[in-house]
Amino acid sequence: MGNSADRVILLADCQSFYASVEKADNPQYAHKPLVVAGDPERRSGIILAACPLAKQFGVTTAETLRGALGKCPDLVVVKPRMQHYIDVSMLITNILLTYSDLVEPYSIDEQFIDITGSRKLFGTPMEIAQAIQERVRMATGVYTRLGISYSKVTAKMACDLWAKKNESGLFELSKENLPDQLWTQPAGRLFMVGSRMAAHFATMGFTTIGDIAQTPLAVLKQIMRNRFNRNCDIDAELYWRLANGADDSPVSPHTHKEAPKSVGHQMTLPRDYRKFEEIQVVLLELAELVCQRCRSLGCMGFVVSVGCYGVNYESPGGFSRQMKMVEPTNATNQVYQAAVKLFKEHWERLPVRRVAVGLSQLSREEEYQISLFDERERFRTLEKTTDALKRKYGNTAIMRAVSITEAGQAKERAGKIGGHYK
Amino acid sequence: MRKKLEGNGLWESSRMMLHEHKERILEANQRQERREKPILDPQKREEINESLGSAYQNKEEIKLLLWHPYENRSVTGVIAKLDLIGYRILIDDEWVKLAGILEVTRRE
Repeated sequence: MGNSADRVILLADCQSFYASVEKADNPQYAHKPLVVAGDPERRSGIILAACPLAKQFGVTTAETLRGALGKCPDLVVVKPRMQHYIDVSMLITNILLTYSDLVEPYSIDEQFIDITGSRKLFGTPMEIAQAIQERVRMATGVYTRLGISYSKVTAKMACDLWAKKNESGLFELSKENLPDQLWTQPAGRLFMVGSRMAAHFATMGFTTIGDIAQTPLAVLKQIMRNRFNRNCDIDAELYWRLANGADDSPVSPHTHKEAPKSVGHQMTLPRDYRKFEEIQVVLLELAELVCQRCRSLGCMGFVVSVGCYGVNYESPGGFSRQMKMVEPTNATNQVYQAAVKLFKEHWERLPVRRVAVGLSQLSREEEYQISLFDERERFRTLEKTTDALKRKYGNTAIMRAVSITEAGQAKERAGKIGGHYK
Repeated sequence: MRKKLEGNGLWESSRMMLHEHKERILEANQRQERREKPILDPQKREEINESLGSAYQNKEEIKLLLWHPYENRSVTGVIAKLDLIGYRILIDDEWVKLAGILEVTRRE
């Protein structure tokens, strides 16, 4: 690890990303309040993004479309186009790549750039940040805010606490200014501290970020241990490091290459499913999606998990259970059978609105214990073929017959990304 | 849990990435890594051939830039043999295909 004091890291954050992309593509709405919202009929009718004009009316992300229209009846409502947002995000990544090869997307609208080695070519960090902001705006119409600092966490906070609020959309947080600028902020503003943890910090007597930073680590560990009645040394150390701006994690362009620990899919159903026969169809579709991804990753899973939840988000009921199978597998039928078994055991016959299936304890496909009653090979050839068809022509190219029954969701889901329209 | 304190763990455990977005990034990285072989114009080809010819005759030490799909590499040495049928040369104990040579520089 190099000397972190010498690094220069930017975090570029896109303002109201989905909404800004839609506004850039539809100039007739430039001066109108606009939101991107999921389909109201399918219960996913929540606000995914609101433009600054809509926010002035009090519209917030994640509220219902009904609520938003109540605040602002003239709201322009646009359906999401997830594939397009991914394309624009990649376009921004490519712009950033012209300033440094070290670019790490953190989400669809936030990316880290390490410009330590780019200053000789492109100027001071502030000049580079300005240039990026201008180029992204010219190319996509999206307004970016950039935090400039010496580590990822301080860059993130420079962006969230200052750049998002000031005139220029740019803010530089240096190590020297940490005590004056960061430490005077309320503890709840610290990265990774949510409202509940902020309340805990308040009762523990930490009002500002500086209070946390200046407490010796051993003391902080002890205080948190007393507060939560358990060992939370790792959390204590994490908050302590964040408050001190101590983060040596690299900006890693290949971070997304890491093999996942588990693979899971979940679906929110269009209505309550009450009959086992209907839920069975969804379990099969989810098992297929999970196994399809495992097969494309070249891995098999040992543990199947099934979750199901009721309609009420506040007290959803339902369950989430897992079981170990006889052998690791990525064959849809085997995972499906395990999922059905789990579901039958734990389902209390309450209506179901959300179902999840996952596979964990992953191992490489080519390394496994051969067993006498191995069925996997039998499935493999068929599934290799159907996977290839789906890759080429999309997930609806070949489906299970049950998927075209009324309960089936596969077709609907194939047209979506992250649960929203492509 | 401990992973949050190591390497890139803090950011890997807290990020929100759409699967489809991740796929695109991986695809782009792969494309970036694997490159097409450049097509040299006839003048450049001629120049390379001439340099190789004179270097061979004068037993000069040269440096060759060789194409590779992921990362170009170079070989330095004196040409020991010319194989005009196989279109290759022996340099620094290595047979190098003429078609893969992108640049020839003479060592002073």
